[in-house]
Amino acid sequence: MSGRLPGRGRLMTVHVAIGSVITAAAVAAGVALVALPLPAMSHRSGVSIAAHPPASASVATCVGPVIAAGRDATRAAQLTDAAPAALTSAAVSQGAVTDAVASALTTPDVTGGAGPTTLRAAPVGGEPAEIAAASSAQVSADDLSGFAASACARPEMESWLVGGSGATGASDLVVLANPGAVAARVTITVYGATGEAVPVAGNGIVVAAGTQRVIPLASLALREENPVLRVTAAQAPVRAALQTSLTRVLTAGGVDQVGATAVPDTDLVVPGVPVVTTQGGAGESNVPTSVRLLSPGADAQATVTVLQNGGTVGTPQTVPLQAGVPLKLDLGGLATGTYAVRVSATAPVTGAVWATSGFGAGSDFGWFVAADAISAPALVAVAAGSSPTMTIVSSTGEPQTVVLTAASGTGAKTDVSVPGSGSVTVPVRAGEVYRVDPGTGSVRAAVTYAGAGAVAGYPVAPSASAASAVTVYPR
Amino acid sequence: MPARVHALLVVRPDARVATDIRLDRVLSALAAQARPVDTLTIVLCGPHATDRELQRIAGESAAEAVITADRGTSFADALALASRRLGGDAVWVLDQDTTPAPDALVRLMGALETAPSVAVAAPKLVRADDNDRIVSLGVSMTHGGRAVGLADGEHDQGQHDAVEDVLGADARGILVRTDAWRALDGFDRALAGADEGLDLGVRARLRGGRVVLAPQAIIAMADPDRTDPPSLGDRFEPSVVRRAYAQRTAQLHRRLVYAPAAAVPLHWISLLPLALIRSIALLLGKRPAMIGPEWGATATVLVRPAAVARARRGIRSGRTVSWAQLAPLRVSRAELRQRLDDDVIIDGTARGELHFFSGGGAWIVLGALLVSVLAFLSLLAWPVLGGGALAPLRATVGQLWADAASGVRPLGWDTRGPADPFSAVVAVLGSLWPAAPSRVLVVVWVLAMPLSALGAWFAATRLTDNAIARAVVAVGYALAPSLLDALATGRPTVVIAHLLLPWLLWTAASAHRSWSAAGMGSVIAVAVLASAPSLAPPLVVVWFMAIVLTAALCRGRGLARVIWLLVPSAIVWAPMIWRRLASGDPWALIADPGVPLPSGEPVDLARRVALAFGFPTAGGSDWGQLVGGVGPWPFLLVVPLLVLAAAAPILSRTVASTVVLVIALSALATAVAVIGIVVTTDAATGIAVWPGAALSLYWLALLGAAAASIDALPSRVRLRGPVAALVMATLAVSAVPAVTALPRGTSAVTNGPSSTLPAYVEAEGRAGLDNATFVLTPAADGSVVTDVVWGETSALGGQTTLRSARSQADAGDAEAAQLTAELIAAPAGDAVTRLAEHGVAFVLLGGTGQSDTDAARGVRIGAETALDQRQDLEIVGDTGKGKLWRVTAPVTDRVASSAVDDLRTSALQIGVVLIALLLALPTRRSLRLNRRRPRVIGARRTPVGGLR
Repeated sequence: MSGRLPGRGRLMTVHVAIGSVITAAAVAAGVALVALPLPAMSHRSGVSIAAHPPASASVATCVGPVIAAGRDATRAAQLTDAAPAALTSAAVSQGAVTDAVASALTTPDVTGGAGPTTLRAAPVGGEPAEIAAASSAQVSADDLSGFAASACARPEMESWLVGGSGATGASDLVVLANPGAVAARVTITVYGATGEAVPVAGNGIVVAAGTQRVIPLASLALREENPVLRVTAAQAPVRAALQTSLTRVLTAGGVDQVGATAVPDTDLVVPGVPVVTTQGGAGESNVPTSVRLLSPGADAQATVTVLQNGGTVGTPQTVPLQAGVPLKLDLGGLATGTYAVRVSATAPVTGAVWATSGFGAGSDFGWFVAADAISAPALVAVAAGSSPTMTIVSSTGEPQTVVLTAASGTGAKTDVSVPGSGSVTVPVRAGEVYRVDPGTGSVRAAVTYAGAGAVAGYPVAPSASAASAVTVYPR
Repeated sequence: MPARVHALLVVRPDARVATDIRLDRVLSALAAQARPVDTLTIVLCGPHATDRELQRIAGESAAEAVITADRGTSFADALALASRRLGGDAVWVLDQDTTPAPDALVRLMGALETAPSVAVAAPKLVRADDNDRIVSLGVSMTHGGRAVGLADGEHDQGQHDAVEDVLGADARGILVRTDAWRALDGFDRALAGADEGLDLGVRARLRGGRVVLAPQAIIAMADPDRTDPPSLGDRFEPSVVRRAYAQRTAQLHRRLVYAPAAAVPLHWISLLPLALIRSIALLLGKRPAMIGPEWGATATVLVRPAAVARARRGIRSGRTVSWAQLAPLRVSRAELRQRLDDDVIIDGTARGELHFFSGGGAWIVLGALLVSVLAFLSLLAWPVLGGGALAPLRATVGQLWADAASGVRPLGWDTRGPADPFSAVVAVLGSLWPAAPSRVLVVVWVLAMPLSALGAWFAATRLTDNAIARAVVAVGYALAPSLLDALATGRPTVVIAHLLLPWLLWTAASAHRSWSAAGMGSVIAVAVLASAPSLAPPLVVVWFMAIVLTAALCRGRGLARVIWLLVPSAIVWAPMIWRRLASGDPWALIADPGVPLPSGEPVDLARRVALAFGFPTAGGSDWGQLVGGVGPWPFLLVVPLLVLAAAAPILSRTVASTVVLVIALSALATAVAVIGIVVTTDAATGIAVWPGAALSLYWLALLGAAAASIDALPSRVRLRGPVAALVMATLAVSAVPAVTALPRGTSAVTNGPSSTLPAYVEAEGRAGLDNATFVLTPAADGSVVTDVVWGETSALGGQTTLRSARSQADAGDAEAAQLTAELIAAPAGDAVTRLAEHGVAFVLLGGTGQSDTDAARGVRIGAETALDQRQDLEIVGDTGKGKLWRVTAPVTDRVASSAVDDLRTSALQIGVVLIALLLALPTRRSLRLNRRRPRVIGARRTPVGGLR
């Protein structure tokens, strides 16, 4: 090496060259960090515990006899029993059939009324008993005719009633039963064409312990075509239901008893909608099937899909829903058969489907409410009536196998394959109590009666123990 | 009668130069003596004992005997071995480092023979390489017993040649009368290798002998113990440590030996407390390397009462002179002060003025304060900040620190374990305003921007001397997107980390050369990592880089100081790390402390692009809120900064700018990585780690690189001003939406509430941490969120990642869930009794129910009904925070565990921070030392010129 030192210029060049390499490397590293996604570790969700409160007595309260209004010409507001309800029930605890204690609630609003039956079964070994009960009634009178069927249900703090009408020709009654030991204060919020309101008649209704109150819908929602009611109880839960009947001019157009529908959700399923008439095709004014929808909280887009036998029927309809205003959507042009209706919405919605067997004398209609998901074995009673069927829809979109066991789970077993999308309808025997076992899946199911003069149905309710579990996030 | 001299030559294995050459040299010097020694005995110790070459040299010498001994044989032991063969009238003590001048023995003999009372004659020890530099000429001690060399290290101008009588002398080279040597039994073997000559002199004098100097007898020391300049004791060198140990052991041993009998137990008892006090003093004096020898010496002396007793017996047996007669030979206080005054460190001149005021730093801070006050005008009247991740602080200092202690956590049914280190940060902050701790956060919010500017300005002084470049860093850091976002959305952890980061850089950058900086940096690192554990990866990367650079560029000097930077953090985090590793959940360690705050930000390319531009949210600077349809164009405002930063390696010093860019990239990598790591949950919601703190580090590094670029721009082209102005102006425009968030009402920060629970809880007098409120909140999907809040509020310092970042439920969670189900299901059962027995005094049905979903409302009504009907709950009423019930059953207070483990954990954590603080406290000496180095790290000594 010579003793010559590198010049200042050469040093500078080397410095810039090294610097450029470092800069290029740094920029490249920065771009790579942004462009290439790093593996994420985002599987952690909150710590949740399914807690079971200590078992209490299981209660199922029926809607009771069909009630007629104004049969005494001198006392137009008087209510009387029109037809008794035939009860089908069974109670099971820990796999064995047990006895449920039946008692009738007093009904001060109905003159000489028999009152609804309430069934009560004590828990056995810390497990709540399962009660399945359903009642049906056939009425054939001038002012009231048709077939009504409904399941006996647990009292709830809040119930949504979708059905009925405040228009001329309808004589609908809200039936509130309190089977408990404490008086309940009930507030009924009416959602109508003008939105949400609490009418005077719906404010502070006291339902004494062990009684049933009957409130005419006309006093709550007069001239309201498509009311939806929210029944909120305080101090004690009540069992809310709606008896709806229709008179077209002078002809009785049918009767039904409607239980509470599912609480608002973005996914709503009404299994078991019967279509028994092909009237009301395209262009006809009388459409035999329609759906009533309400988004109580927020404006939403709802997509209504009709399902049958493993597939979609027709094209799904998308409708905008205004917050708090119920909407009626006709489901015309359906061939006879039993369908399921699924509603997907951008905000929680509730609703029910109305179906009629015709528009003349001797026809009947029914309201079919949305069902809750069943992910644990549940009991369902099939009330007396002609040709009952059960329609099952998968909740998850996956094909599933549901085991139906007769005689409250002690009789013959039937495997039912439920398609992933679509529904399956199987015949069931009237007066029988079935055990519906969805296995590891989750389904929604309903019992449907579809005759020329007898249209009715009710959903299968989840089991009592499944319903009582509370998901707790200890924070 | 000519006296016979017996020379004892000890060869010990502590020589660093080839021992055979040394030995050869000593033997030649002995052979060349004007008056040869009469007998020579050589003792070979350690590996030399078997060294053939040494054996040969020793054998060829005139030695009458060559004794071999073990490796561990001390100087005193080796001499004792040889003393058995002792003959003649005088003993001459030599080792392999001593090279006597030809007339040395004659002179020593002369001194010894001046009077029969002279027992010891000591030569003048000088450096072999510099004969005018005295190594040792006489040793004395203070009244306290500390050994003091009388002329050590001095330049020999004959100034001490008149001194004759001394207390003692260096052991090497002394000539001792054989009868005195025998009577004294040689050197005290309990002295670990120091002060042997002094001790011998003292004992000789107590027996009536004299110790005289023979300044004309010159012995050259080949390996003088004392280095020049004297070691500062701030480096962990084995030889320094060993010598410190020997000196301290000798001093303590002599103290016990010389003390009056009655005082010996007192001295013995005082050894441990004294070691502690001296350790603190050593920490304060920035000499932590001396702490080990201090304790080693104390322990050694503590367990050797037999050696003390033997030495005391030896003194007592032949004592003829009182201690008082030795007093004039001791070093007086005045003499000592005179000697200490010589030991000054010249004040450094390597750094110029700071120019904080004239360089514009003060004006930037003032400007930032003005902007901040305008932006947060409404905050000035708020007593407590709420919203976002903000929560009230505890009302008293005691509770603040109770939250920071290990043990029961103030959240959850029965959560126990270490506190988040962030709780301690909150406790420190809250203690600054003991009357209203929550107000500290208001102050932090208002001062965040000016304090950021201040910190960044000082951090910039480590990179550049240029005022404009410093201004860019200060302004840019005060307007950092991560800070402004944290201020607007209420993230105290990010704000605190952001404020501390520049100071961490400021101290850590100079940690390798100053214990003060290392101590301060380590304390700040604790606080930064406590506030933002997600900064651990980049900081550890930078730490490793610093270790490598220190080892490479500074040849290992200051390695211990750089390593120390993260030691306190590691110890403070140790309990939490242990806990997480034990539960198999190490990722939870980087969970953000404080209140979990879901952001809902996506993890996609758009977000990562925003991160690269320094913005923690995909929305970037939020200019879209002010001007519609601007799209991604506001990102361009950050481009000048990015370009300047990227250009730094080309324009500026290569190493410094590369280091800064590596910091930036590691911070960006952390930010990009953590947004996909979900470890925290809030009820059902998983929350990803927030990238804000990592982005603050990224931003600071970018600004540093940009400042280096601006600094390196040639001053003749007059580009610095315009470029800096462009960067500052674009950043200011980019920050407008975030700065105006509070006045525009888009900020999440709110006034209060002063408690997350109803005021009744406090008013009831159950505000202590021994009672809890059981809070049930219905969630949108019909589930229930259960909080168990101890004390009057869920406090910021009481948050714990043990709850927010846990992966599975524990037994307490199961119990709380079961109680929840029982409470909301039916008004019967013993649920409330169990609550009361656990310490729960209130049940709160949280939320007002106005924005409930239908499922939540159903749960709420059911729960309210069930709670209302309970006999053992008394309705307090609806409050703004929900409906409150009071438990009427007798409430058992929570048992605050004071487990020994918890106390020990806390003591360890506090202890390490205290040590770091002691190291951090500057002394006059450390300040002067600092001023000898330039302020800019890695710059040449002169502030002007350099590499560019």
